[in-house]
Amino acid sequence: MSKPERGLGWGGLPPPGHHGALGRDPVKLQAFMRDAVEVRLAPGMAEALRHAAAGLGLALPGMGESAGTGSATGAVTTLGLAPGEWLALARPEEPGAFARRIASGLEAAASVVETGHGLACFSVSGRAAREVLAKGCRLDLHPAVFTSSTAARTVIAQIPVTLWRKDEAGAADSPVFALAVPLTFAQSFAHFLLGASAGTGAEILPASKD
Amino acid sequence: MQRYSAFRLALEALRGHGGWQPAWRDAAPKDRYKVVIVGAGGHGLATAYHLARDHGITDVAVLDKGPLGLGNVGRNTTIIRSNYFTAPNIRFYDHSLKLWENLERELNFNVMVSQRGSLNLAHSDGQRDLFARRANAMRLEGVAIEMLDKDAVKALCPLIDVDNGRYPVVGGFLQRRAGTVRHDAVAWGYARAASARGVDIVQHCEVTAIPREGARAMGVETTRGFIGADKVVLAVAGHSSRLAAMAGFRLPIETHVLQAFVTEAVKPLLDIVVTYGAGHFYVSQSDKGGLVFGGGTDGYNSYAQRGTLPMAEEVHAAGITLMPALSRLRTLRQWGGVMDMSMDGNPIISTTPVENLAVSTGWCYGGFKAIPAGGTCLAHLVATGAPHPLAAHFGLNRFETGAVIDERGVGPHPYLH
Amino acid sequence: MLRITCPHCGPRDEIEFRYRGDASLSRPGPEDDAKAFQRYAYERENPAGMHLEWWLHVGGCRRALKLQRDTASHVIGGAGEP
Repeated sequence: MSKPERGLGWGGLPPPGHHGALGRDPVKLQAFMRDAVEVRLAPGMAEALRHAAAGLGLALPGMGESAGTGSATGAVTTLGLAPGEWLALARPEEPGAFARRIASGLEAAASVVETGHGLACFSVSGRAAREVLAKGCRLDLHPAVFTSSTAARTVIAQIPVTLWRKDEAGAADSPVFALAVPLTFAQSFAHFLLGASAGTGAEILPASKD
Repeated sequence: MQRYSAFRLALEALRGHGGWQPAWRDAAPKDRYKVVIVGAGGHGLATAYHLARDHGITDVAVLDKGPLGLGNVGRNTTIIRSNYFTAPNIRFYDHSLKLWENLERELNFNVMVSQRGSLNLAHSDGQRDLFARRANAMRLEGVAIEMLDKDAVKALCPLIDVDNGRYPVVGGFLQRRAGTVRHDAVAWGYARAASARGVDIVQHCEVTAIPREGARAMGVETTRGFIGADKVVLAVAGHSSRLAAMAGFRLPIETHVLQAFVTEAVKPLLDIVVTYGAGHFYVSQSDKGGLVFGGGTDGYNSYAQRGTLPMAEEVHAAGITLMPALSRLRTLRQWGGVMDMSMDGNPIISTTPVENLAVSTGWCYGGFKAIPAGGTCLAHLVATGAPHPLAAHFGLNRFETGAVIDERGVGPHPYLH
Repeated sequence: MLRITCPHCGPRDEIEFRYRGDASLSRPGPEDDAKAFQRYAYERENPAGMHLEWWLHVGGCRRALKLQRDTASHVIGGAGEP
């Protein structure tokens, strides 16, 4: 018997297909999976953390920024969400392996807590993505303000959301917004996305590991 | 006082309604009174009425900075109930409910008491257990309350989406004697009855200072001159801290804003008061047909008698989650009232560090239902100098002795009450 | 609607924040009497005007900040790190 797919149990979006109005420019909605660890700088260890992160090949961007390292399956996206606090995200691998790798690499310079099991991730892409998210998101998502290296935590539909861009390089006119919400709110958040995209129409894609 | 009756109404109808007299005297202030009550809202007017009726003290003035009844007595969502948890509170609020039941006869004024019942919803097993405990506490005090399961909730109020995904309804409790009252009429009814017993109601008379001589207040300095008083009473919900500062002391009070909303009028849709247990949302339908609803405070200190958008959104979201049919209605009006939020979420009817000055404050957003009992107890305190047995636990000294009453156990944080 | 400038995240909507009370109070020390603790725990100036208060940016960086706000007009005088 094969192992059950991790991260698929929460449902969230309905089965793949079209949703809402039959517009010319439907947004793409997709649930995706990430391993995640929260990295917090230990007091007085800034220099040690910088050194350890460099040794690990882990980028530690400034507050409000995101940075990617590695490519394809080994890629890690790190989001700077508060002073001395980062969320590192990676494609799903063996349970616990990502957190162990980060924790052993950073040693005493930071506290590392695995949080991926508590997160549900969605992406909203396409030309109308900004318009759809604006129905609940109060941040300015204009490409000049919210660039492909911006990260933020905010509140959408009364649900705490971590927001960043998950673009392929050179896709400036068609941004891919990524949103991570607490797993227990995944259904409610999917409900918000469906409501917000009903006017433009949406293409629902199968849940993905990428 | 011109008595109201069916006979009088028929008589006036025959002669073109030319014989009605003003319901109360709009008095000019005298130089001195035995008792000066600041604030012509529900509690101030009820206190004046009970001073005259229960204690024979009629040399009383009730002052208001604006027209009578434009503060919180005319801004609330008009709900009366006594479904509390702590025994002294159940006794106090149920006494108030009993006074409401007889108020129209007492005041000879139609305040439109409607005992339509009030339903509180539970959304988890834990919440249902808590309600059962509260219901049992009420039964121990002899107050009737019914526990309902999910099917009974649905049968009683088909509008409620008991299976909504986010906060499904597992049951609730129903107090049938609870209901609503026409709030403006309460102010008018008490004003008329107090005025008829000789109380002066002085409108557009704002208190600007409370001069003291030693430990006593000499009276109040107002925009219409100085008014001397043997005793001063503050019943100024929302502004108690400001007046206490004039008299030279601090209260355990923060001022917060609470919003209320009314939809367009529709045919009868909802015949009880419903309180949502997952968010903070309560709704009833007025006799005019509009749905009257409200939620929690905006969450931070505010003297602005208007609400802000985030809480308005939250209240509407909670309402539509609970009763999806409400999404078809338009909200017509929205307003805010400022209230005295006390540090333990319970009222203060008390003497103060100023010897001859008493306060009624800290009603949070539950002051309306308490008007008849609050007036009775404050009048008793002012007339006799001793707290009324039903309100003995509402003294200011509880914050010194530690005997605070915390219905929900959240501590001294008014933004969480 | 308040727009609060978080020292870490920049201007954000009030929905991301939670109010945490009067920030002008300081906790009495062990040598102070019960009356001092009563004043600290319960008694408030509660001004109708400028008020120094704690806000927690719970929907953002999760850090506390101090805010000067007018309780009558909602005008914000300034925000800063504690």
